Amino acid sequence: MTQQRPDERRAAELSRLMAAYEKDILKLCCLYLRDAGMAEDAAQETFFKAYRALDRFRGECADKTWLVRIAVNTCKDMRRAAWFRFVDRRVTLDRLPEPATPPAADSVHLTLEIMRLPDRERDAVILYYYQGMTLRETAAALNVSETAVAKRLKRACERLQLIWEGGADDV
Amino acid sequence: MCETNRERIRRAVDECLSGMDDRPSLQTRVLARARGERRGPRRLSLAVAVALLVTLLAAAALAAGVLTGWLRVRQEDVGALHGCVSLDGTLYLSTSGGLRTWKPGQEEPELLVSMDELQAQGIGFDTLIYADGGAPALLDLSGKKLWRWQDGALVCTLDYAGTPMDLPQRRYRAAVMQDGWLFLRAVLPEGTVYEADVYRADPLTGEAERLPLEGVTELCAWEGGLLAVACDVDGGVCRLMSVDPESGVARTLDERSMQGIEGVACDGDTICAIVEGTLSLWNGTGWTALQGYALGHLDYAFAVVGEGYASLGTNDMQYVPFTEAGSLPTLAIRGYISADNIDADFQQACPGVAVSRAADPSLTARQVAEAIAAGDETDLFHVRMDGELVTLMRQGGLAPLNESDLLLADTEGMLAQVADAIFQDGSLYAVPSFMHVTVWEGAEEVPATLEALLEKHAAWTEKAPLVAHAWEGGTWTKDDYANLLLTACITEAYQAGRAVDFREEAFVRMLTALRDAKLPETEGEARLDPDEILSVSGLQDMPFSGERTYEPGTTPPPPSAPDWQLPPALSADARRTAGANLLVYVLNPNARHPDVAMTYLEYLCGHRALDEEALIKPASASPVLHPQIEEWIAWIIEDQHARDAELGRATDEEALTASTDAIRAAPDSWAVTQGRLEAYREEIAPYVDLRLHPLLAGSQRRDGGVYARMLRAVCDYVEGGAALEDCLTRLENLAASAPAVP
Repeated sequence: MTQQRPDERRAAELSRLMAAYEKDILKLCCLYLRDAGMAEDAAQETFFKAYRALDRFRGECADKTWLVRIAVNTCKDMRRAAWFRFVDRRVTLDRLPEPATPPAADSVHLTLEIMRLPDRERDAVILYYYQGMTLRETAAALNVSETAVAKRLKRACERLQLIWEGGADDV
Repeated sequence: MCETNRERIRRAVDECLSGMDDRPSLQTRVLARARGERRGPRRLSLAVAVALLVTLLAAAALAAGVLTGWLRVRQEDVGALHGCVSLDGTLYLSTSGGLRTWKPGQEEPELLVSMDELQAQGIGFDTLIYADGGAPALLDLSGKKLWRWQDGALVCTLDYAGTPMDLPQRRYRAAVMQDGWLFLRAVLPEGTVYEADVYRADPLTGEAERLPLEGVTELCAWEGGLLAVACDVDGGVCRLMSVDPESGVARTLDERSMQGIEGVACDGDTICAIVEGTLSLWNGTGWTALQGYALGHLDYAFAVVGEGYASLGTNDMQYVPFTEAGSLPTLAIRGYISADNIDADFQQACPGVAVSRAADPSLTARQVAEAIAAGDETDLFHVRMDGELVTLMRQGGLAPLNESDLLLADTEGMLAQVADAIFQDGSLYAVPSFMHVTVWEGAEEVPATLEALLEKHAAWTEKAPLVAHAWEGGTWTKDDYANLLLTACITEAYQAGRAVDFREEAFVRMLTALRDAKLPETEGEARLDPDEILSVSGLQDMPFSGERTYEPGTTPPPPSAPDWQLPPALSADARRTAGANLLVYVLNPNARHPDVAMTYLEYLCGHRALDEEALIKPASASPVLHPQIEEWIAWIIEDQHARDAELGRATDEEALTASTDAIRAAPDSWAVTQGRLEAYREEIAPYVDLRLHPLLAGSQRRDGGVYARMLRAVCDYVEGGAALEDCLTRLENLAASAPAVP
């Protein structure tokens, strides 16, 4: 059997990660950046950074947790960039591609409300509820304690008028 | 089985983002980049970054009007703005260029009647616009006439010269028609905005009577009657009141702290106002907040136009549609008011962000600490730098600003005392907005010590006049000395890096001397002013009457060298210092919009007033004309050439140059003058002291604060009401009782 060269192995690993998580990471970036083009740039940057760091990743956490952490930081960096500050900051879905089937009004309302959450609460909601991560995984991705995540989720639920079930969703 | 939160959120978001499912995969692009290993973007130099920021701001502001519906109309485009009134979805504007109309969706107002046409009719330049039965009307202040728009023209409806409406000792500032009466807000020419009277006049006869309303700052017609905002300066409150047009009886609808209600505007039964920095709608019993809205610094006319709100000052008009309300992130600021238009300017420069400033000029660092500890999510606090703010920084109670290269670069060249205060433990925590430096000013030399000052004062006779008059020309009292003495004692200990010692010889000697002194009431012209706020602006060199002297053929007054001096010290060997109040913005670690807050801070540091920038960064400052002066000179030249061309004559270039040179030579054309800047750099800047000892903190100077009680103890002694040992023991106990910062 022919041995793969290191860069071929990394490329193969990258392909595996993208096949598994590209859509999730892309949608996560949409929730942060609210713009399809920027979300694609951020997702591309995320996987490129992951490719470069593959050798250093020792499986300390799940692949997805690791990628999500990179994606969240990439989106935050983009939001801090000088040019981003001067684009239209209204929270709308107008700069995302229109779905083939129009979404229900309450889905639009809930999605916009999630986008309007304060940064820390939005981080927690996106990772825990939308990405389906556990409290532990969410805390690892955000580099905070599980208690901090739980508090942020509780506050977010109050704002979103959902009931915080204290980890009942945590499976 | 009912949906869990997870299922519900996932379903909602997936429905909204399902359009992303059909996008082509990024895999090819990522792999291509991985193989090519293209380099990342170059790091921009700071100078380029700032230039890029400014360019982006301008471009974004241009796009903003289309994207967000926010509009800003500048006086450069339409002339100075005098007033506005809204009728049937159209805003009528009275400007120095004439009457204009504007409707939401239009980029610029349209000319209805030019100023030349108005003047041809005999209508003066100085008018107030109001609504009269569905048509715009003008009150001509110089011509003393009322004019109404009828059948496409202005028709004079009343000449009120000689009628009770003609009040020579009053100047009308606002006119509002309601139920057939014309209500007029009138001020004394030299009065404050809070000393206005309200008159009810008959627009057909000119009969007028004064209504029993005081402190009215705004008037507005409303379906239910008349609305007024009245300010009680002594009580520190302002009230929104409904006034019965017939009886003049007023009923309070809402009460807030000063400046808590501004910009009231009505359309039918819709009442809108800026309530504590937030554009709000009255719902009959209270306010429904829409979004933050920063009024321009000197805005004085407001209107509801269609489905939106407009505010207008001399320099520009802003408009925001209600439909945008609620969808914009709001930057929340609390604390001292801004010195200029920074909030409104930022709002326009950063499209899609609303700025809401809850004015709280008495906010202290202690209150900031308490708010943060309680989870307050205000983004930025604007507060005086004092010892308690420094403690809060050192405790990690504020968010550091180090991630902004622009903010770090802004600190270069700052006065060392300022830089040392805003940096703590290697981190940047605050951005200065402006600084008030207090100096003594006058021809008389200030004695080096308080004791020497007291001796001179006590020796005052009519034939040997001294000395300082206290604030506003009153005579110095023992209480004035007590304040100076206590502050000097604490400051000098802080400078020396030692604990405050109220038993040190110099302090006790001065206390005793003050108690024993018999202070005469001084008379005559003040030769020393102990409470001067230092300014490097050329406006300070103009004659007191403020006469402009840059007319051709006149000579502007020569700039005078300022006679700034430092106050006396307590000890002969202590360093004399000039006390300074530095106002700074700090970032709340709980901020709801930290990235927007950082953008605001970066915008601020690039847009400080030129004279404030010179005070904070004297080493890098240089003399500079007001930006508007150069623009004005360019306009004068262009206008002269155009007029001469129209009349077919050659321009007298020599006269034109003399005219523009006279403008440049006038001291008040300069935001920073050479003489004042040099004097500040050499004589004052090295001695500026921010008074950072915790005992001098804002919260401790308040009634009930430790410093206030210490001052009381000193005053009790020097006025003969307590023994020395009691006084000193009280001071020591109070100093030891100063509370820690939460």
